[in-house]
Amino acid sequence: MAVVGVSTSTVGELKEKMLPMGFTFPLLADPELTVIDAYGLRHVAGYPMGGDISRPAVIIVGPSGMILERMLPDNWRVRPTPKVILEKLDALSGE
Amino acid sequence: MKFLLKHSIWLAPLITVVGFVSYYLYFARFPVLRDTPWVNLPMVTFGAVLAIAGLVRGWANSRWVRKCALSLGALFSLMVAGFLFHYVFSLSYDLPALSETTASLERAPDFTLIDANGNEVSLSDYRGRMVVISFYRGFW
Repeated sequence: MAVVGVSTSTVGELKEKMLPMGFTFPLLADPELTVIDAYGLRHVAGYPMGGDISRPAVIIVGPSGMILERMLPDNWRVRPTPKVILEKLDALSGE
Repeated sequence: MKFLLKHSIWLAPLITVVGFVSYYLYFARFPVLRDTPWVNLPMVTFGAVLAIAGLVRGWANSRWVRKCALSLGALFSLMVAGFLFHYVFSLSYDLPALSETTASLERAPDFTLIDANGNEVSLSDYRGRMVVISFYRGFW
């Protein structure tokens, strides 16, 4: 199992702000929102200071590249916890 | 309680502000207290109620300077408490509807992006494994 994070932060911002927090999985920079758009997750003017960002979403991709699960909270303050994601992964790999 | 009411002029705004700020600085780190702010919503509510109670109690026998201070404190506490409620129950639901693209995707579109260390990472690097892609709003 692998985890990657995607946001509009640039490589520089990730390096400066996220790396010190000790993430052990890759944090990917998508400042042009190409991948965010490919997944249909653009939140127009979602950044409080103006500008488009990604809406929060957890997408689980199976070994063959098929999307197995989309978790899209309707509230950006309340996001799926690691526990919920791990339970979903267990359920999916058990099938 | 008597002590609280007597000193509500400064205690009430203080309790409200602490209730507000500590959500962002501390309590939001715990999922249970973040999802529903069990500590912070009661705290700001208490602060605002105390401010109004203090205003009502102190109004009759106060000089105008104190009346002004009590009124401003109550207004301020109400606004701060109101904003936290607004943030929790309205503002954070500001998300677009589920897009057609997201709903209809079956195969995960491949991509290559640069990670925080400057390395290229492709989704296809992980073929044969389960991948959790976490799209997040960013850190600011």
